Amino acid sequence: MSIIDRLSRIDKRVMYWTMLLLIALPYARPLGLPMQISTYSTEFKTTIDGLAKGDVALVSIDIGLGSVSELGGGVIALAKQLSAEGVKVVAVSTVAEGPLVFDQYFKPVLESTGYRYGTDYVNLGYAAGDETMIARIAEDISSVYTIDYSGNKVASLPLMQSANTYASYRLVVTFDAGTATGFYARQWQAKYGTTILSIPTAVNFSYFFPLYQAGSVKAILNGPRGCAEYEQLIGAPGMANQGIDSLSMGQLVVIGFMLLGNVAFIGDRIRRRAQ
Amino acid sequence: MLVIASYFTTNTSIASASDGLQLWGIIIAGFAAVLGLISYTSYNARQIAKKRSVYAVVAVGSALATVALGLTLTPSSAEYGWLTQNILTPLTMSVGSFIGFFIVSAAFRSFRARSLEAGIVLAAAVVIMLKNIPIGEYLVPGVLPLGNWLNDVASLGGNRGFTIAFAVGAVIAGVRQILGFERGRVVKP
Repeated sequence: MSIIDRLSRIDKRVMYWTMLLLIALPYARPLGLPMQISTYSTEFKTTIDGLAKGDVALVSIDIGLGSVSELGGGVIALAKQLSAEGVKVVAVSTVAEGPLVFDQYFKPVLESTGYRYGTDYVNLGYAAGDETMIARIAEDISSVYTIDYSGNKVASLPLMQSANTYASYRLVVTFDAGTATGFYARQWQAKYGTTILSIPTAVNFSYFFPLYQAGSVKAILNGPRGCAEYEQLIGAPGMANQGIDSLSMGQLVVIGFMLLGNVAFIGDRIRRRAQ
Repeated sequence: MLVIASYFTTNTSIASASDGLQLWGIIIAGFAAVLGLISYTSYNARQIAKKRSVYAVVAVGSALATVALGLTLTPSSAEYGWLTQNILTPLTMSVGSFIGFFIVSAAFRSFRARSLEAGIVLAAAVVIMLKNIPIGEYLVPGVLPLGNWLNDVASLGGNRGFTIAFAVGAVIAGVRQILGFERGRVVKP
């Protein structure tokens, strides 16, 4: 069997084992390569720097637990920066698992810095309706959320008495594995001029980039790499920086096998022509 | 039409009617989750009745147990938190991580430069993947500006055109439907 035949018949198990070993390697021996910080990430950080103590931010967790491996570092980093600035947080979600992500990754950071539930932060939970829901909460949150994720009456929470409409929010941050950035750009930014920040998964970055360039979205992080850059910018390297080496190796494996596949394909074509 | 009109006017009657419609939309969307649970349970119940799959028992059992726990103890309770942190989170992350393995195999077998266009797509994909990882800048110097150009110019132009075309198309489709020209979806031929 020629080399070309061998290349074109690489067993799946070889690919899976190569992938497994190479993504596990950086956890044992981190590469620790320095990263060039993009302007998008810098803008993201400086926009939040511009908030004052006591301002209110709407954090929309529009990702499920499956996207935490990609954006979890960003969730924690945002919680760290907002709590360091003393910004109050109201969390909503268009994804059923979103409130769980908030409770597991965002809330512990807030509580470790002395944030009190109901006064400094609120997790309203998931509401159905996607864009319709987002349009509605801009005008009256209590018309959609009568109770929060813990079952408390929203009207009884001190923070929600003063933050029931778009006018109370200095900005919206959305963690997005779907289409929520577009919803906020249309229903909050275009209509009321609210500042929107987006943290999409890597695959959605290009999809939302036109909104960023048009100014509908003030700043955007480029998936896991953007989260790692953001962690470095706020001086708290964590989950995203730990994962970025592993991501590097995983991407290299994909590129490597893609190129091998093409070497085999082109080699086979040349051989057939010669015959 | 009321919802669209409310976007352009401050008339309180129109705004009030639009608000009501939006709330209806949210309530109807909420029922979709209930409908999904009923459909999921009934499908798996049939599988159990026909003794087709033991996994159906696990599927229905875990779904109903989670719903019961959430309804009785609230989703923010310690027990529900344990369930999500120790069962749901690792399972969901594992399923998500499998995609990486499938992508290697799929990319190897299907991402071939069979034509010039496919070759360009392949080259762009490699550049963007290298741009998104720190090691890419070290392996291929210059990949970052090239990747940024692909993202900020080439991809942006195509994406913007697609977005605008989609939005205009949606408006036209909506107007045609409201005026009765587009009845394929509501009237049987």
